[in-house]
Amino acid sequence: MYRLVRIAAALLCATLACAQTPPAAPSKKIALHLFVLVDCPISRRLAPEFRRLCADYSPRGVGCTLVFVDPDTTPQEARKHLKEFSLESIPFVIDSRHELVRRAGATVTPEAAVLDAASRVLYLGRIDDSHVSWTRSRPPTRHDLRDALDAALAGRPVPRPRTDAIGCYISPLPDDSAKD
Amino acid sequence: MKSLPLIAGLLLGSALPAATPNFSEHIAPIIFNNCTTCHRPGEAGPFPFTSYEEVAKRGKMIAAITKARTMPPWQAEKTAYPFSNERTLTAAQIELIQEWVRAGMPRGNAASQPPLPKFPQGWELGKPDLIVKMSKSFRVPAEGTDIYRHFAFPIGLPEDKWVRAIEFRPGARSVVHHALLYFDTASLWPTLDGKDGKAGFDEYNSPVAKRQRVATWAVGSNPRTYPEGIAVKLPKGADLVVQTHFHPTGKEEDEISTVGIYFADAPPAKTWTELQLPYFFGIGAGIDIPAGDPAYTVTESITLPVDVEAFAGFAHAHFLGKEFRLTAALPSGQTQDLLWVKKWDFAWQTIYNFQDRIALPKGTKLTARIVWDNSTANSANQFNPPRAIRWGEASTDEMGSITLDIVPARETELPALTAALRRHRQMTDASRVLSTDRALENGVAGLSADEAKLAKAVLGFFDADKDGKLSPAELESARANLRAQGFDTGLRRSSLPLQAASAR
Ligand code: HEC
Repeated sequence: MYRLVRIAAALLCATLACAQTPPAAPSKKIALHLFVLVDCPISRRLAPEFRRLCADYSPRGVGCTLVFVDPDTTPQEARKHLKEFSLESIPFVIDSRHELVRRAGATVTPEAAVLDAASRVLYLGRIDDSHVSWTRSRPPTRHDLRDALDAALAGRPVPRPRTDAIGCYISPLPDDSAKD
Repeated sequence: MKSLPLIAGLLLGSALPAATPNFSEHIAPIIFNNCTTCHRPGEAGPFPFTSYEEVAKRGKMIAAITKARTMPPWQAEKTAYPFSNERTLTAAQIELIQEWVRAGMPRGNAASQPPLPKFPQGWELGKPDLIVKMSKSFRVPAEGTDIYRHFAFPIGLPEDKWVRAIEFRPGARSVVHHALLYFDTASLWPTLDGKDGKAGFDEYNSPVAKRQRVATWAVGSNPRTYPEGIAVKLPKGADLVVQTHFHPTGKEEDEISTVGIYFADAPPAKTWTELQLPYFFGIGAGIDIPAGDPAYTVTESITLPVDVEAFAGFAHAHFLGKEFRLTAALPSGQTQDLLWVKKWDFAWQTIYNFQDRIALPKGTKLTARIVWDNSTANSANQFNPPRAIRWGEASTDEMGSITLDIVPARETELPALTAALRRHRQMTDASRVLSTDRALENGVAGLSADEAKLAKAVLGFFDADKDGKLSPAELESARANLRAQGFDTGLRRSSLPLQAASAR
């Protein structure tokens, strides 16, 4: 299964967009998918935390990937976004066919999924509790994603495997929804 | 049963389309007229809503956010006095959006889609008479708590001028949440500006009497145009000081704001006067909110000494604000809400312009009631666990007031009006001093210079035997006097030191 993700990602890369480095290097046993949109305010606001997360957890064996969920995002736009938000060091993929979105069951950006080597979703949900509604934020007191990563790396069950993420809904792909 | 929707459709007229709603006929008019003003390129909305594709792509999100009534941003309840800048969707419009999204967002006949409204480009009122701009940019960090920062825009004209309109234009649209604009004659800013190595300065303690609020800008605001016949004075030598509120966006942003000022040809027939309850965002009201208090309340009243007309309202607090209500008990015996913000949201600080001027006769008692929520139930609380919060200018301090923009009905009565407002401020201070545990039984002995100044002013009103202190009898009669005027003199948690409120 894990291979499949990699193949899917590689395929996406080959056909469309591409990560500067392949997503989830083979040595990593845990994958972290961060679902993002270039223009979603909360997705943008959490960029500094994405950077810290990947810096903290990559050395511990977590393969970080930023997953752009809007199929209309061009690789140029994605790169520009990464540069603006100082996220260039994180591999990215444009999930044009929502393969990663579907695999994790992501519905919102920003949202995080933690997957094990067998591609099982160990955690899906918010990064932390800093956003309480679309317009309200405060310093976080619960770091659900970090807790999930710590548990996953230690081989423990994730304490709260599902949390609600606040942000922008991931729109279905046009061919899924367009009716006239 | 089948005829039910039909009857409903007939009763509600065009509000309920018989068939499935489509974009061109039903949704585009709602979005283009209520959202696109902010959601278009160059404006603060995060994504544009200018075409079918752009709207359909966010359909689910639009349905959810309109249903939650988060968008369009608008906080005031409906009262007997409609607002000219009201931004709300009707329940029928919200339902139509839900139906459209449920139906898979059909486009309909593209030819029947209305054109986009004509949005202003550049200066909305044409070229301003005077344009001032920040000379250095202010860098907003990528993340962290909201920032309040003051910026001075030197003007210093050689003579008085009258201003009929003013437009604030932020440079980095997505990071600037709101701005309060003042004309300032205290000129204290040169000693503060840039002292911490960044453009502008944090706190600005210029006296109330030396600054006049001239406009409030918030995301989506139009330029501030005063109603016909009203203008504000830009005094000779005065500068513009702007307090800007920034909300970090995830990346560093550099702000350079520009302000355009439009002069009136002649002085106005009536003088704009600001009535704030409690005054100066509550500086003298002893705001001191215990940690965990879900409904800390300040109530303050003033009785109008002359006939006035009100043309706009404004509510202000920080993260802990919960509810604002300004009522007018009219001499007729009737009581009316003037401004009621039931669910305060710090993110949206709008000026509420009344469609028609509201006549408030002499003897009208205005009462402001402001509630703060310092519990964890307030999802905007920046501290968990909550902390005791006092009055202050930083975003994590608190403030709170309701402002009514008024003019005297007869300009000849302006002095009586301003004198009454001034006296009200002094009485606010007095009630504050007399509700502390050192209520001047020993006069000003042991007080700091600031406190002594305030205490002397209070003694001036209530020290009947002029012995420089308040005897128990004087204190009791002073408290009774203040209570009769509607002030709270109950002992507060916080005692001295007091801020030098009356000096403001
Ligand atoms: C007064 C200007 C204004 C108007 C009018 C307005 N918006 Fe917004 N909208 C904004 C701003 C500013 C933001 C970004 C908020 C933030 O940064 O958190 C926003 C955010 C949004 C978001 C994203 C929410 C989030 O934070 O992720 C959606 C969706 C949205 N608006 C839809 C609408 C719709 C639909 C309408 C009309 C019914 C509308 N807006 C009207 C200014 C406006």
